[in-house]
Amino acid sequence: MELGFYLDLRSPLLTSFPCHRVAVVPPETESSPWQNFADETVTGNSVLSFESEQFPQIWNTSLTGQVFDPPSLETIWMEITSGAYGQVQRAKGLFELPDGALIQMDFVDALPGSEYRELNVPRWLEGRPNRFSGMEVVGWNLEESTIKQILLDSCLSDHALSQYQSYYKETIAS
Amino acid sequence: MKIAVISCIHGNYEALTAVLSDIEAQKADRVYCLGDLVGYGPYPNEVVELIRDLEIPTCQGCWDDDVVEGLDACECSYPSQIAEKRGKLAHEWTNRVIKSEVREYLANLPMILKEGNLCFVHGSPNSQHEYLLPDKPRLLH
Amino acid sequence: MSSPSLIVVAGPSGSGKTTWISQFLRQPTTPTYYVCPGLGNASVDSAIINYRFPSVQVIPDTEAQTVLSRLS
Repeated sequence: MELGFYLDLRSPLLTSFPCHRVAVVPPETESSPWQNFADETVTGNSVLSFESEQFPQIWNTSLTGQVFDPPSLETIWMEITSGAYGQVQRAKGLFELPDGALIQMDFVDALPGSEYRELNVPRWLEGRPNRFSGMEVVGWNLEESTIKQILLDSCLSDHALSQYQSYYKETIAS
Repeated sequence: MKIAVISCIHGNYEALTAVLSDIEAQKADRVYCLGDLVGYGPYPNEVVELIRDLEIPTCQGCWDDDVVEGLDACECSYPSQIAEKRGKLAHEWTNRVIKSEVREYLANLPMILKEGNLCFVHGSPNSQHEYLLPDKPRLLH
Repeated sequence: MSSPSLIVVAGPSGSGKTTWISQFLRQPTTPTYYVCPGLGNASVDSAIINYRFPSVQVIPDTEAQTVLSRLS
């Protein structure tokens, strides 16, 4: 079970059953609610702890059925993660591309750059993908409606999608 | 001789004045502007008026041509779908707010500026809409 | 790692919880369920685990409480 930072570790729901508790914390963290909670502590990424700051907000959206124009996705991912629509601490997404691939993108504020990974799933080249894709952003003062709008502005129309899909199907066939 | 070259101001008046004061501090002998005075930014009229008042030699950029000839005048390609959406919005807005004398100034900008053995253009010597990217090194020959 | 029936992973945002879980799930003695409560049906983490580890059953957020109350 994965517990997001937004859950209260003292919640009876989380303490009422037998389990092995693991805390993944930044290096050199001497004490934290996570370590107090855990049976085992693992050193993870060097992210800033935000205990003394305002609690960040978490925003997520499903994008299932949407397929992205790749250069637009690259542009808005860069804009979002560099703080154009609010300070972002963490962003992760699953995005469909016109060649049928499903990619995972990850950004952590304290770590350099973003990570990209193509998931090992079948290429979807028949209409709009009927499998989950979506995005999650953790940060402060997020302009949620603008983020949603630029995501949609970067998605392909039915016409553009079918053109891409017939092109890729031909390429694969030849 | 120290030459300052500026370009693609895109209606950003604050950036233009900041760069001009830096040019002054660096004591450049000449200033040339490679166009795209308007588009995207909120001060297209003010930028054109400042460049005109300072008599900075300027050639025509693709955005300057678009507000004169209309957006469909060229086969311009945008690098992404979102850039195209934003570009069209910015064009419509600029086209709406721009003063007639500013449009006339942009219409009369030269395509090419020459100074001795130097040639200044916005895109390529062929067109202000042409991109000369690193993978096309032979276009000039 | 003895044989706890349930492993709960917590930590600050971006610290590497999903990464740690992914490494754990790569081991041969993998557990068969994953749950990440509180994010509704748009949980990117749940979807990633689902895509990357097809043998792991991801418990939907709406069923998390029922499943957990059965454990206590």
